[in-house]
Amino acid sequence: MKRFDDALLDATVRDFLRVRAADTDGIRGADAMSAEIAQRALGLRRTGERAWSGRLVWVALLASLLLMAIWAVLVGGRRPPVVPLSVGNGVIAYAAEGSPSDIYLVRPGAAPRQIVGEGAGEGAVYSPAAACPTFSPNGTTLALGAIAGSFILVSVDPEGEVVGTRRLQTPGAESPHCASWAPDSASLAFLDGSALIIVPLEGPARRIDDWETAVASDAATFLIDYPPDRAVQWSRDGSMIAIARPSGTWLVPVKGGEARRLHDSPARTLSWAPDGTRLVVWTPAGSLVIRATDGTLVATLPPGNQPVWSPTGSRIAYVGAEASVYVVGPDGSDPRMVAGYGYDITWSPDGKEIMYIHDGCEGPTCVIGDTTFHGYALMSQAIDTQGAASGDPVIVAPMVRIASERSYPPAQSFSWQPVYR
Amino acid sequence: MTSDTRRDAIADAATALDAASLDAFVREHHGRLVCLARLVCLDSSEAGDAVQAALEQAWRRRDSLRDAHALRAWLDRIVVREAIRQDRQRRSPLARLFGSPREIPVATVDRRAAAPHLSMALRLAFEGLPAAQRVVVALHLHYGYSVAQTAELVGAPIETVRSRLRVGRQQLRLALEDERQ
Repeated sequence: MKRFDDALLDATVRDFLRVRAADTDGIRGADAMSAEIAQRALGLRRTGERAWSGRLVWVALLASLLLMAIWAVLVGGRRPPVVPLSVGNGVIAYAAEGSPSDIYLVRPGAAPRQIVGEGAGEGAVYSPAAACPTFSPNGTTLALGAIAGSFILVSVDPEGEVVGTRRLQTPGAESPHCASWAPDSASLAFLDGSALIIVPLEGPARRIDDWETAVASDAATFLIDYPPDRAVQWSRDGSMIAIARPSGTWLVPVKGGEARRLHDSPARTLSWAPDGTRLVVWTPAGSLVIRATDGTLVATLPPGNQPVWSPTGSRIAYVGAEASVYVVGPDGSDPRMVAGYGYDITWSPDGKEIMYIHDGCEGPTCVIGDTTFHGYALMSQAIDTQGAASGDPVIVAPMVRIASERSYPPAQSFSWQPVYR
Repeated sequence: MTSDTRRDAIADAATALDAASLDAFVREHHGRLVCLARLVCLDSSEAGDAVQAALEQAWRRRDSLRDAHALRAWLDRIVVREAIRQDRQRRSPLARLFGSPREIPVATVDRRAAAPHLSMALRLAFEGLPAAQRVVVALHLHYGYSVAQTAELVGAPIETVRSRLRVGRQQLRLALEDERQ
C-alpha cells in the first residue's frame, strides 16, 4: 500500500483542487448575474413584482413554519435522547440506527458523540460507512469494519477522544468484516467465508484456507449466520484461535500447524474462560463448557444461548428463557435472571456490569424509567459478586443498530473500551 | 422640463452609472469567486447562488470597506460564508425532506470499481467532507491562505481550523491510500 506523507498528500490534493476549481460548467455567467443583481440591488424590477415577491416570501415563510412544526411532531421525537451514563468504566462504541454507517462513542456522564456517518460533521473520523466497532484489548484502538475489506483503526484516548486514524487493508472480501483482536492488540482475525484471515497491524496478512479439515460432508449448516465476532476468539496467550463452525469447535494454531476439532457439536458462538482452560460454546444441544485441551465436556448450562464468560471467570452470562438475560456459575449452578429481554451480551472490562441489546418493547415506543425511545436500546446492568442484578438497568444508548435483523452491518453492535493500558 | 422630470432624469442617470459600475464589479470578480464557490459547493447551481448572493451583499455594503486592498479577502469571506450557509440549508430537515436527494457514496459501492481514477476517489472523499472542512482545505491548499487567514475568512478560531484541516486531510489520505491498493 502506498503511504501518502503530508507533502505528497498536499500536492495531490492541490492538483485535484486546481482541476475542480476550473470546472465551472453550469454556473451562471457574469452577464446573467450582473442583470439579476441589478434588478434587485438597483430597484430595476417593477414595483408590482416586488410586492408579489414580498408576499411570496411571507407565504413561503409561514408554510415553512407550518411544515417545520409538522416535521418536529412526526420525526423530532425519533432523535436519540441524551442519556447520561452511569456505567462503571470505559468508553463505549456502538452502531446506531440511521444510515448504515453511524458509529457513536459515549462515555459516562456524556452525550453520545457520532464519529462515523453523515451527521458526524467535524467529529467525523471516517466516511462514508463503517461497521462492527471493536475495541482492542489494550483499550487504545477501535477497529471498524470498512469498505474494500479493510479496517479503519481509530486511536481513542482514555477520555474517549479520537487522536488518530489509519486504514488497515486485508485480503478479505469487499464487505466489511468484524474484527477479533489478538490479546496483545497487535493483530486482528476474522472469518472470510470459511477462510481464517489474520492481519497484523504491521506486516503482511495471512490467509488460512484449508484449516477446516476432515469435516463430514453432512456437516450441519445454520439457517442464520451468527455474529462472526463471537465465533472467532483468540486464546488468552495468543497462540490459538478458537472458531465456532457448523462442523464443530476448532482450535487453529496462530503460528501454523494443523487445526484441531475440539468438539463436534455444531457451534454458533464461543467464549474463553479468562484462565484459558475452558470454553463455553453455544450449540443446538445447549451451552456447553468444554476443556480447551481436549474438548472434554465439563458442564452443560441451563437452556439458553450466546453464553459469554465474565472477565473474572466466576460467572457466565447468557440469554435464557423468554429472552431474558441470566448469569450462572461455570458449572451450571445458581442461575439468576438479571434483566428482561436482551441479547448480544457483553461484560464490562471489570466484570461488574453487563451490557446488552434490549428489544422488549412492543410497538413503536419504548419507555424505561423516565426515558422514551424508539427501537432497540443498549442497556447496562450492574451485577454483584453473587451474580445477581444490583440496582436498575441503565440505558446506555437508545436506537442502536442490531445484528440479527440486518444484512449490513453484519454483526457487533457495540464494544466496551477495556481498561486503558 | 419640470423639476420632477429633471429629478427623474438625474436618478435614471445615477442608476445607469450604478448599473455600469455594478456590471464592471461583477465581471471583475465573477471568475475567481465562481472557482472558489465551486470548491466549497457540491453542485454548480449552489455555487452560482452563493456567488450571486455574495456579490449582491458586497455591492450593497461596498461603502463599508475602508481598505481597498482588502477587497479580495473580503469578497472571499462573503462567498465562503454564503456557500457554507447554503450547504447548511441543503442539509436541513426540510430541505432533505423536500429537496432532490444528492448522491452520496456509500459503503455498498466498491469504490475501486466505481472510481478507477485517482481524481474520482478524491472527489468522492472531498465531497464527503462537511462544508466547513471542505472550505478550509480549499482555502489553505488551493488559495494558499495561512491557517490564521483561513480562520479569519471562515470566522472560526484558529484551533478549530487546524482541527478541520487535520481531519479533512486524514479523510483524503484514507481515500487515496484506499485507491492505491
